[in-house]
Amino acid sequence: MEILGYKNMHRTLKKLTVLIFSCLFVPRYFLAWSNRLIPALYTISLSTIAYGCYIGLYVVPADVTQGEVFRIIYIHVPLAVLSLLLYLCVSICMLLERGLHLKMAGIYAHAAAVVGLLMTVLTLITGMIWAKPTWGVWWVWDARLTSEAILAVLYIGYLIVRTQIQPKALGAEISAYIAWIGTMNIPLVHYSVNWWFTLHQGPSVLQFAQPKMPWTMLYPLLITGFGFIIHAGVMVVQTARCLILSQQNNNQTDANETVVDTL
Amino acid sequence: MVSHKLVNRLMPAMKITLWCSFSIACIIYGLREHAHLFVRVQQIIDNPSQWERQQLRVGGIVVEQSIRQTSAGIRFSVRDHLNKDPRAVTVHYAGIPPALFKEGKAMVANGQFKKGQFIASEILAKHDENYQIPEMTQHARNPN
Repeated sequence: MEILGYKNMHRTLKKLTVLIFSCLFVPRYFLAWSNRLIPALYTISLSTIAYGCYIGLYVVPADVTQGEVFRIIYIHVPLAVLSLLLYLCVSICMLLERGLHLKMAGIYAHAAAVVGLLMTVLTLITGMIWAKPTWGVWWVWDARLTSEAILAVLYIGYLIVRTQIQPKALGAEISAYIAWIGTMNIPLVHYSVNWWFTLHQGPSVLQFAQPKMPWTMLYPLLITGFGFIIHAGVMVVQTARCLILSQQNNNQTDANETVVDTL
Repeated sequence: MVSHKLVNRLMPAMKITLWCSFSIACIIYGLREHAHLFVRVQQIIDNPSQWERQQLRVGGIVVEQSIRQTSAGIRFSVRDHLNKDPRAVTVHYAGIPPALFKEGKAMVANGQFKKGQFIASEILAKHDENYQIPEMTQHARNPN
């Protein structure tokens, strides 16, 4: 135990925790590491997505009943999963912001909402592109599609309230309620196909039983899923960077104006 | 104690959130029977007079070898998608169904129920959650 440095273990752990915490929640450190890591992470995520899409488009044989249209699953499903996950991130970050007064958590929530809105809209668009040749219509008001559309509305509402209401503190508080109350839409989106009769099919992958597709079709989906998760993470980091920098910029302008006023 | 402070700070907000969520959950629970996209064939067979001359959607599986060309379009029978009940509803449709509309597959028809037959104005193909590659179906045809 002496050899392993056990005596200093708790100090090392404490240092590590402080390091992680300060890298995430101190703007100066966050800006420093994100500046270095963003290009590398973008390279990893984009190449993973490109590799997964290549396998999905050229290697995997077409589905027996749907034909070539099924290949849109390789971007539709990761986007749909991310649209739900990012909403959970938003509400957890709002919990940290309102509870612990961590300003950076609020910035993460804002950034995650921007990326989540993008993911939701892309989910709806890719889904519609798939639905027209498969079902015969672009849009049906069934439970799954409607709840996903409500998710997009929640994201839009959250962002409008967060950015437009003055004073900013009031906007942040109201947007927290939107995030928390809207969280109950997440299980609704996921279980809507089990609870109600819908035109959208049931889950093929995200379920406890055996996946409803062969491994040859499934593994490119896992690759693109991994790539999209990293990509969404980097997009959140980059949006957070932009928000911090613009805020600092605004503060600086404000400071200059006060100087001018006093002069 | 940080957690104590956290609880004190978040308690009013959490109360508001939980009450709002509870009321919305009640609304969704009230909607539970009305949020179905379509009516099951079973429900129509059990109580045909209830659905007479209403605009509704019927969902079910197209019975094997039941699609017939008629002078006005096509005619086929639909059975329930959850049980093996052989009783079926006849559907008339004047138009071209989507490409994935096939015998033995699920579909949803939008239209009216008149005199024991369903007059569809729109037909949607419903795809199930099973994905298959071509080799698998060949394997299913000759298992050795």
